Amino acid sequence: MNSLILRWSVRVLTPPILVLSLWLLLRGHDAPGGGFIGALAAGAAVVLRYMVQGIEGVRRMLPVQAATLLAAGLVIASGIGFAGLLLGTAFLQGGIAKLELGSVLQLKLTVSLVFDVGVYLVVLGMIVTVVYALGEEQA
Amino acid sequence: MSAGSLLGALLLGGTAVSLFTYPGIRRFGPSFAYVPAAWLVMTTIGLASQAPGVVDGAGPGASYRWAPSAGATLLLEIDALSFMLALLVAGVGALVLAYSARYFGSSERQAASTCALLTAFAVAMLGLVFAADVVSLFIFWEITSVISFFLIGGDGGPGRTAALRALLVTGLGGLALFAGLIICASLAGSTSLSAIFLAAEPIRSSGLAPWIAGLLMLGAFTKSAQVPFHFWLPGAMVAPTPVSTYLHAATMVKAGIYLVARFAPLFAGWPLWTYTIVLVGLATSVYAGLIALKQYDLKALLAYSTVSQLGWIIALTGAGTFRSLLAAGTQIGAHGLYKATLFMVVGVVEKKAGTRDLRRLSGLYRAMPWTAVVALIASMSLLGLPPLLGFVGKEESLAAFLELSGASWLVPLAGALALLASVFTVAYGLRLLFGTFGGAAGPGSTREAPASLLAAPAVAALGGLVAVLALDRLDLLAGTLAAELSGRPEAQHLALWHGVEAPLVVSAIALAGGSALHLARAWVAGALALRVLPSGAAMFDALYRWTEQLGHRLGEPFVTPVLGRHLAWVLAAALGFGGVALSLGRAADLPPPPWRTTDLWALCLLTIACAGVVTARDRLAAVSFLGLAGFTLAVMYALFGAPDLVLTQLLIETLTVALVVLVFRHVPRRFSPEARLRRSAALAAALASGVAAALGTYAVMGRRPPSDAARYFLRAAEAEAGGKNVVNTILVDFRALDTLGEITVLLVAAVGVYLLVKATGGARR
Repeated sequence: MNSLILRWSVRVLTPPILVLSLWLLLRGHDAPGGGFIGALAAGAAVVLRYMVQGIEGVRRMLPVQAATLLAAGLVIASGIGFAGLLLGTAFLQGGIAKLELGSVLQLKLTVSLVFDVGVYLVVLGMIVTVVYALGEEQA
Repeated sequence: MSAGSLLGALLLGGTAVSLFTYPGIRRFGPSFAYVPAAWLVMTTIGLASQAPGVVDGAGPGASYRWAPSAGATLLLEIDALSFMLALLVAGVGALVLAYSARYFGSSERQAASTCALLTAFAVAMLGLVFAADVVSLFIFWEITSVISFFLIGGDGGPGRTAALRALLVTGLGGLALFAGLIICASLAGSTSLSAIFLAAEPIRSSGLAPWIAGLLMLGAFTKSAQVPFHFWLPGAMVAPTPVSTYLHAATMVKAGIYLVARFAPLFAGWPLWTYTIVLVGLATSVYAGLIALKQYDLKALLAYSTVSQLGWIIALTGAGTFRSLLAAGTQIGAHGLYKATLFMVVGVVEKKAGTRDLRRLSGLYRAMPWTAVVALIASMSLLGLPPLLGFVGKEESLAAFLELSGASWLVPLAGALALLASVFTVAYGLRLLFGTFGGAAGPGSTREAPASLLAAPAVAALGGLVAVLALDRLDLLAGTLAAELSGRPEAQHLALWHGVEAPLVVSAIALAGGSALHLARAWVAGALALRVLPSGAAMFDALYRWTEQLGHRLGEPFVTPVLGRHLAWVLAAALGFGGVALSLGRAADLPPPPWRTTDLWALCLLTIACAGVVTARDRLAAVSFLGLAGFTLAVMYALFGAPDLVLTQLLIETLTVALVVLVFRHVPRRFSPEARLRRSAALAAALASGVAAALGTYAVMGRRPPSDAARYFLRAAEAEAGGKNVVNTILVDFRALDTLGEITVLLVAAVGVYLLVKATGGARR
């Protein structure tokens, strides 16, 4: 597809969509969002990119294979589970750490966030797989 | 380091070593196998240092928290039984890996995967004998089955069928074992083995006892290849020789014996247990010994010999008296040593002479004198000749069989079977030894194997001699084992010379009979060529095919390219759900319909969108209407105050429409016209199921307050998981294990989609 509007919009929209996707991922524990929803948003950016620039565009945007995303996600999610087993008391045990950076910044780190990153990567990997599988023949 | 943490350290360290073995061999060549071998030597030494504690009945133990909510703790402990098996596993493992370092030559890929798996297997086997709770016992048991599958299967090819057979048979036994252990643990109220043995009396007197015994025996018989499950073991001989040596001769198949011995405190002396195991074991011993006489492939001969010897040992173990357990302990060691030697020798012969077919081998003692000497020592132990460990074990075994107490027919029957098994053992032992090394020199220029290749079998063979020199130590250990397992210490001791007693007479008869059979070997082989019994492997394959066909039959209605048939199930389910929900609800209980003007607007929009979907002729238009319906749904979620659902619905809808459009590049732009009758039928089905689903939903809606689980999650989300988004805390914290399962499914689905599209795309082009 070669319309000016689409070409322009993909350039303008991709960065904010990706930021939105990460924001959804990070805030997921306390507000609507999470790994699944965040990955869907990123997936929308991927699909948009694909419609305008084809597979090549997707490849330039995400220079990793879909299989890598899927595998990395599962490894991260189960890895944090085993970390809970080794350091804590049980597989997939939760944990929270609050970091005070100065007086303004406060970071809340949870084991669930790492797990959610795993979910995010698997879901994104699934979307990218489908895009590659269904769209590959088109240049 | 405390003695207890030694056990955990051995398992963890061994796992690490096995992980490094593969890249190590790929990088530095097969010689890298000396590294895991060295680790196993260290393991052996570390274990041996615990001997004083073990013979005092105070071996080291350790416990690790595992899944406390499931009552599972990883308990590790060694007593005399585990100590002996662990020494055998680590010691023979070191020898086999050292042998592998020279055996594989230049085929690094095979060497790398085989040696890494062998090392991992040693760790699993150590874990199995260390395990002092039923959960870890079962898990290590299964790991050995799985590793065995990969080792037999190799890179696919001819090993595939054999590997599958082995996995299914031992896996079936594993399931039986699992069930047996679970019943045991629930009766005892604890997963720890010591607690189970403390509860021995209530377990034995409960009605479930025969079930437990039967299930455990099934596990042991499949693993240790007892008739009628023996057929997987000879098939497993397609694996490389080091694998056959280690798994299928010296260690894994001993797991079944270990299980019987481990549960001796629970069941020994109980007729069902004792009689079944003694008779099955001895019958297996006789049958396999007979079949070994007609094998020409040396590995097959050794495989049947292994089945036969395992039957012998498992019978001793099942008898469960002090003397039989003393003999079993000795035979486990003796068999491990001489069988490992013989397998490795066969590997050497195959490498140097180019074949392991008895019909093409002859007179190798001239070309390979050292190999012949090593084989001779091991064969003497196999035949039960002094002054080797095999002799000590065999005399003790025969004495134990002749002293069995029980029904009047038991001793004569057991004695006769033992005599027959011994006769066959002598006959196939001679056949192996003289068939390979004796006779006229064969053609070709076979040369002696290098010392580095011959070292491992030589050490194992000499082990059978050294053990006799240190017989008092071995006696102390085996005596402790027998006393601990039988619960009745006796003043019986191992000795090289007991004087002329019944066992010696039986041995002499066996030697004479076996030699006679060997002299008449041509006639014996001819007689055995007539096959009487159907082959176990063939029956197994028939059963396997039959199961597969049954699966196809059952699955057929669901495997159809016609979309309507798949859809029919969904619609029928909606109808059924609506009907059930309506029949359960009473009209009086229904809440008043919550009408709001805004809802009406959304409903109108939804109706228009749906009408658009069903009337559109153009696929793109239909999908656009479908998207509109989806977005309207998102609006409705927003009106009901569910921002989470709104977000998800919007994103899913966007992606679905985009991805469905991708599919459209593969199909015509317009729908093909449908017959009028078909359209009316579809309309009726859709309306009926839609109305049923709507009414059903309405009937069950708002009928109960939030469930206990819901209240718990609402309360605990922030307190326990530290999140305010309850849905998310459920997904990634409370039920994270479910989510892990779901993303695994997603990954599998992704692979499926990719392959499916590639396959059909390829077919179309």
